[in-house]
Amino acid sequence: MKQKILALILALAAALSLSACGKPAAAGPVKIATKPMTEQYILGEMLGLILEDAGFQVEITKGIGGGTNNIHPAMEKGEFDLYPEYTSSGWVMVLDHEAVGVDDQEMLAKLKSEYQEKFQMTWVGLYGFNNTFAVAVREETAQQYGLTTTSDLAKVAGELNFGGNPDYIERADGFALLADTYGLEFKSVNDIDIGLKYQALRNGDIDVTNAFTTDAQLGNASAGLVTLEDDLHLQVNYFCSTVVRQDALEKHPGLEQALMKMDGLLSDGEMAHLNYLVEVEGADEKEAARDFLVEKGVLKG
Amino acid sequence: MELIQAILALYRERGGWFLGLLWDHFLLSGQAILLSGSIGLLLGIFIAQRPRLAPAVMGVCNVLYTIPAISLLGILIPFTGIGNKTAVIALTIYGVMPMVRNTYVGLTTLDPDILEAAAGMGSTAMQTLLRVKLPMAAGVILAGVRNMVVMTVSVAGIASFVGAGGLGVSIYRGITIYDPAMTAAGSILIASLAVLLDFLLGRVEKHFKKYGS
Repeated sequence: MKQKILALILALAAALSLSACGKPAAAGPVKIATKPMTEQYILGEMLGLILEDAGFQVEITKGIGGGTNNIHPAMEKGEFDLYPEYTSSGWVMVLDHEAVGVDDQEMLAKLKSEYQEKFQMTWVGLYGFNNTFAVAVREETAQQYGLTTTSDLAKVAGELNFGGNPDYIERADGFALLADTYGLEFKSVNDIDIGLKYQALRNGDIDVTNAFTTDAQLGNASAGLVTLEDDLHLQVNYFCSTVVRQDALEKHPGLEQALMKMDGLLSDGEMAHLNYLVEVEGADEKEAARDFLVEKGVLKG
Repeated sequence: MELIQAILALYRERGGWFLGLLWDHFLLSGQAILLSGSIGLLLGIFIAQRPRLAPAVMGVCNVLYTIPAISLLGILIPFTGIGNKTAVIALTIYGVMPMVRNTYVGLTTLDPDILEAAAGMGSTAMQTLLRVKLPMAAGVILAGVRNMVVMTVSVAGIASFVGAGGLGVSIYRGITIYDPAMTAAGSILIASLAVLLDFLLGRVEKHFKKYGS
């Protein structure tokens, strides 16, 4: 039995190494990776659909555990050709730079040049949305107190109850930083499970919560929730783009033009709505992606 | 060892916060204990007087008791929202079962000769209940109270899942930020509170045993 298993392992290893150092397969499929989150699953499908439409074969590997930490090394080895990435994630986690003190334009330019230089990779297009920190309130609360930015909240915080996920409230760079930066003194601060806080917000159990701009629950039009702009830029921006290996661009002529179809395609609200469709309404990721691309005229119906 | 040091450091640095949580925890479980104590006692007396209803009532209580606490909290959210109210209701539902059972058993396993003597001396049903049955059953009922109190204090630890206060807040934060010391620090205080209350009730129980009633 043991020998059989050993033989099997050897056979597998041989097959793998053969395929790995085999001839540079004429073009072959474009290998797409995504991080383990709904938003990335949808983006992966969207990239796949656009590339297939442009005549490429694609192979999507969804939900790589550890996200950037594991996808980037695999990209370097050539196990993947491209993946959707957020500007500040690349800036901080891959290039190991400080997140603060750099504007968006400058960051993108440096991301492109340093990725090219260090890893022979580049960033192609910006999808348009920015999955970053925000504070969410009910629409009626925003109207009642005339709130559009987080700074507006300072004057009325004493009348409002804050509720956030426990880790956000505990972390030094979480709630404490928010409250300090904007001078917020809420009537009460409550720990609420991340899966329940939006419901608590809708029901009025809490009035304010911490959020990300593309959170699925913010994409539910009937929930009547709005985000307040992080006007003092507490958090850096996470614009989404495609990181792609230079050799993939060379190997697959026309790949860059196809990827540029994602440029400026998605607003925060549209991304949140897609997340909502998949995460809350249970829509299929690929169907949701296809419907959106058809609606936008990128794909024919 | 490191964990213990980390826990002690937390108590030193954030003693006020933990005391606040302990107090919230005491109030939260205290409300539930009073509610399930009185509801359970009355329900237990009621079914002891009307034994035909007993199997049905005990059956319902048993079923409620077997629902996992976290799911009971989840089920209640659409009806009672998020916060202390939901937690108190869930804890009360839990606590009723041991109270009903012990009260019922205590009242129905008394020596029939004594009950006959009470009736023979001309006691009314109410007098028999208050002066004979309940004092004699007090030991068994108190055992149920102790059981219920310890359980309520401990289950209240997961109430922060629905946004209720108490030491569950520190447990839950510890879990979400991967800080085992914070989770342990909260748990130790919950255990201490439960042990303390159990000890005090034990003294009361002893008193009843010693002096009958």
